Amino acid sequence: MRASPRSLLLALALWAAPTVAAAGPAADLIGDMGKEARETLRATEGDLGMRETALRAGLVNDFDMDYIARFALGDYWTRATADQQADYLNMFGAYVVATYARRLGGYAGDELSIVGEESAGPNDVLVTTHVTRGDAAPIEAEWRVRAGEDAPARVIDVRVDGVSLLARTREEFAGLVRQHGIDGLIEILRARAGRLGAQ
Amino acid sequence: MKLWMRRSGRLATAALLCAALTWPAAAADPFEEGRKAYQAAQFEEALRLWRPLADAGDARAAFNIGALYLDGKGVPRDPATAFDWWRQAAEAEYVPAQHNLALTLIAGDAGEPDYAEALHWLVRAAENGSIKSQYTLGKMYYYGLGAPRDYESAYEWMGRAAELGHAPALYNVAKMTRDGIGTEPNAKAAYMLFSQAAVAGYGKAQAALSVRYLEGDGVDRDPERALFWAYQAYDNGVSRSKLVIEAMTAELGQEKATRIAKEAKATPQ
Repeated sequence: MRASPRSLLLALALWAAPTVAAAGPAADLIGDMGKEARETLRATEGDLGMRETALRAGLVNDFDMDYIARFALGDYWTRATADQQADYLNMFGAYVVATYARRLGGYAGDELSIVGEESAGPNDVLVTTHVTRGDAAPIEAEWRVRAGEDAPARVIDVRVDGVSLLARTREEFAGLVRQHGIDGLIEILRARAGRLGAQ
Repeated sequence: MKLWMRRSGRLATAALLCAALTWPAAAADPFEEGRKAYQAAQFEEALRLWRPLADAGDARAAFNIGALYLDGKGVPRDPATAFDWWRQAAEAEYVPAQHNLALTLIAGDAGEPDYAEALHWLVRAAENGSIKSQYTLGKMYYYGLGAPRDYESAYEWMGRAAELGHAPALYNVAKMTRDGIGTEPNAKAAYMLFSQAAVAGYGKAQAALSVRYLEGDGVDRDPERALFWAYQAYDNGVSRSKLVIEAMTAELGQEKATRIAKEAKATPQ
């Protein structure tokens, strides 16, 4: 089975310690995030739903949700009212953590290795990783990590098989807003965040 | 005790022991075994155990298989297949499946969104007691999704969820009560509802409550309480509460504001 790029947006956070020594804060961020997620999911205490919920705080801290959310909405961000912007930001965060935290549970057995780290502009670093499952060929993912002078390093995008998940999300959201409006998009995110897991 | 009574007692004990030793162990419940496998992240095994049950009409198993497909656990992620399993369970009146089916019809990730059918399933789940469905149903009526806009029905369904302590529902009912939407305006009742949602840790309600205290709307004006709740809301991500914090700090003075900030941070949300 090959994981879809989208499902890997956050699912790649389940890995073993990086096999290549982390060279900088960006690789450290990815490696630490992976170790923490892996330990949480492989813990034996608590039910799986609780362990997945425990990942949410890490996702909020390690991903620059505000940046990702605004970029994903594209030009519609400036056309939204202040209330819509606030609702959208809230719901985007809820959607990401609720959806991906639960999907992460499906990747508990995957292994990650960091295979490269390179500068990509004044504030960004690309961290390249390989994710392997059993004997399957590794999936390559590039994590774009941004750090400002006073801001901590945080993930702003993931490219899987050369496809930017942030760009894909922006494209999908633009289609949804054209069809259903900004309020419609917010309700769609609310619905996606509100589904129940296995009982 | 008479001899025959002692003998018969011993015989009964021996018979029970023999029965316990020779009786075959109770057959394992495959649904529970599937749950154990799921909790251990052995999703293929969970699916193997649940599938025959679902095929035989077990709605719980069908619902859980749908969840595996939505999350891509043990199977490739496939919202359309999840939808089909949830429909089977929903038609058997399994409430979580009715809720998920409705939300998938709104989310539109298993086909085109269909608000009218979503509304149908939300009504069934809400009438079956799902608080989350009651709240979502209220929002559907509020926005006129799947049916004409109907504020009275929105108020009624969100009110049911609010009565059971659902914080977002409390907040929305509070706003409707404040503004007289779907009900008569009532500032004091709105203040009470905002308070309940705020105490439950709902950030937007904390922000609204701080404004109630700031303006003396439905409650006596109280700058210290306004500042306290503005701090709580701000810590919960409601950035606009910063305006209340600045205004109340200017009114109360920095020393008092610092004390209230400490009090707010020390109060669990």
